[in-house]
Amino acid sequence: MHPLLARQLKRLGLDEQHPPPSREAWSELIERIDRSYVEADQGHALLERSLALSSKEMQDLYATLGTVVGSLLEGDAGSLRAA
Amino acid sequence: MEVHTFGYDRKKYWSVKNRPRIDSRRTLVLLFGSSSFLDSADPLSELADDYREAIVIGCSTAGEILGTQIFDESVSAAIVRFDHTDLRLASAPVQSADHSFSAGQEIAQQLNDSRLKGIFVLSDGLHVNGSELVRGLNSKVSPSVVVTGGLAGDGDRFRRTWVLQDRRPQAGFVTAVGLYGDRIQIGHGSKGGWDLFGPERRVTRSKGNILFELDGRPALQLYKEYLGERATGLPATGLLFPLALRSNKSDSKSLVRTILAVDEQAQSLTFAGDIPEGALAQLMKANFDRLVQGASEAASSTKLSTDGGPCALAIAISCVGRRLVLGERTEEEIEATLDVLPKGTRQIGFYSYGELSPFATGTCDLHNQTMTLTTLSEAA
Repeated sequence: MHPLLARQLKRLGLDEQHPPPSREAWSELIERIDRSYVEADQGHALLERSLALSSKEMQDLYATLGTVVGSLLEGDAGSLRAA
Repeated sequence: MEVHTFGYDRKKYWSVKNRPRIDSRRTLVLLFGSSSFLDSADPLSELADDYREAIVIGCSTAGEILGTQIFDESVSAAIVRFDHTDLRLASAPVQSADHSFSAGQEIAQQLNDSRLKGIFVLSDGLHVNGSELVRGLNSKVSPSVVVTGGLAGDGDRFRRTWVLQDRRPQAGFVTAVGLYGDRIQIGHGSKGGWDLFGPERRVTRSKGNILFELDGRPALQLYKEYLGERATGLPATGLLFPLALRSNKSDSKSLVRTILAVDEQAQSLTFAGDIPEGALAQLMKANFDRLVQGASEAASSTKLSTDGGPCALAIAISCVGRRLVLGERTEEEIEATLDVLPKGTRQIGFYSYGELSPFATGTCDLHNQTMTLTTLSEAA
């Protein structure tokens, strides 16, 4: 069993052999499981967004660096030609 | 040394029928509770009244830790009677971040003497610059004195916090207990477990613990972009992306900073500690397994052994940001600490707005987004 599910059952005083003794206990279990699904989805979405944004930032930095290096090399070539 | 831990719940009341009758001048009462006890402090007073000779300290939290469980709207309590260790209480007002350094100095001056071995500090969580508080403390005590502690919390609301001042919950104070004598053994460990990502950025405009710009761009805008729709949850959701700071490229030691507040008008973010202009900053993101591993490593760093007998107290102070990220899995990190600590160790603690502890060794520093453990035991 996934350790999170095991902990959720333990926290509510339940175990895998017996169903929850009351409607309240059942609702609380469902609520906790639902919360962990939502959190997992949110975490995944945030990770994907971060990855996309930081990749874009890195690409932009790389492009800026390319332009700077290009203009420096051009300047050097110009100086050499002038010499 | 005798250690008891128990809790209070508004519905179920106290988790023990009879509270241990071990009041003395060498008894320490530690209480961590909800910020709502600012409105009605009855359970806190009830407990404190049982220990009239003891030193009583405590603070509000973003979650109370008791054993391997986390609670809200509750109280976690530890009663520790030392056999050989003397205790002294100190406190100082901290009405705004500007008073943080002097508050730290004042606390240290009240506690300092040649027998002082350690200071455990609890501070208001909102009106303080934790870096300055620590600087003030370090400026007046010997580097051999172990300073640990934390900043009070208020769930994910960031509105009001308290520490016990004159045994009553009050905002705007720092309190501390000094531990004296040769038999006290104080362990400490502080670990994060977050991953760095994205480019490193220069802090181009800041003042104290307020950050305005990174690489010439409003810092708040950057956070909103990364948070997407979760930006509506700021400042709490800002904790999903802590900031790693180092002073320059050759600096191998980076500190982690976390958000306390946002100012839409100034487009600024207020952090729990200093954000020096010119420093290098990099965003961090959570990795569940590494966070839990970090907690486990923090427990290992305390080097708590059973030499002190079966009685030891572990005070776990973990960042509210970790709770926000770990969600339903948060209890994994406090299970991980107890797994590592010697059998029979009692654990209480809280989710905080900042953790105070030395790195591996050396003087105390402010940390954010870490699990920070302080262990107390007495040599046989």
